[in-house]
Amino acid sequence: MDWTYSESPVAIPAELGELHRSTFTALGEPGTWWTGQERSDMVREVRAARECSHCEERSEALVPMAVAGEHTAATSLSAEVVEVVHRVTTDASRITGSWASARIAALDAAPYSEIIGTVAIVNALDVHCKALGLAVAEAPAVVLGEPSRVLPRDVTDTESAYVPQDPDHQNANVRRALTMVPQTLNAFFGLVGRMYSGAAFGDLIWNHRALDRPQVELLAARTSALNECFY
Amino acid sequence: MHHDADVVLALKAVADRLGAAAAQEAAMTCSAFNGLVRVADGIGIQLDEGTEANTRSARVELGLDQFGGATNTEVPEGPDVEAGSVMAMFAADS
Repeated sequence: MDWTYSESPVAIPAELGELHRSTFTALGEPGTWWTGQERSDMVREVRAARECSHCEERSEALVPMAVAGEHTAATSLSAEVVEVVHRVTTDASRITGSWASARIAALDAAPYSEIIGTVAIVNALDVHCKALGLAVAEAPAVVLGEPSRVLPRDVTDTESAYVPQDPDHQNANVRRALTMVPQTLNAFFGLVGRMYSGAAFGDLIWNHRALDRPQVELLAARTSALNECFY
Repeated sequence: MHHDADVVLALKAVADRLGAAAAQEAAMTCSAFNGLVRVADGIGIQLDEGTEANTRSARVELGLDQFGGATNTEVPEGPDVEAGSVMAMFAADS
């Protein structure tokens, strides 16, 4: 896959392609809690989840966790990490507090948060490729190094999410969701912020795009509904 | 279930009707929200206070309160509430 989107049926702005390339490439670099190898492997697991028979059986089940079996993993990531990557990719809307608590007990909240943000980035970029009829990019090249393991001082258990948050972080709750992992938060919102509103999020009338704001919000709402996302 | 070819046909239909730039933006928006929903559900965030208060009847009508993620938000029964804080989320980024 060429991040210039030269094969796309509609022209993609060069700066958007560059943003996609840099965001995706950075997933092969050390993160806050995971190495570049582990993060690149998470990319592979997102793709494996879409072909995973266990995920498919769970998605069709009334109670997903009642389905016994194992994921079809593509990497040597731990079973807990594979569970998070696959579940968030294929059945995120039915994640429960008890499921998240069990994963967080095993992984800790900040590493869990980084996985969530990483999986979200990969899904956004992969869906973009799919919408254009293009193959997804190979998992990013691994950059050696250690995770920074820096925990922000301002996060606290607000009981408003599965993981601690920065209660002073402004705007919508989704902007606060990844405050436990600022590197991932910045990568994710640098990406989807550009793809959604650009710098015009606070403006109710948009004149900077081919679509106006009601059209964009209709697409956003329909996409969220298809994903059965309450938020 | 849509197949990849259907998606591209839909994209081309949008391009024919609204222009290539609109089609590109549609693809971009849907892609962004395929990421956002996973952050929201994976982290278990609550509906913003003003939005919750102002959308009660619409959520019931549309069945949105039946989505799994609704359990993360305390949803009082009752009619919509005029919520002045609904605009707070549109404030400038911190």
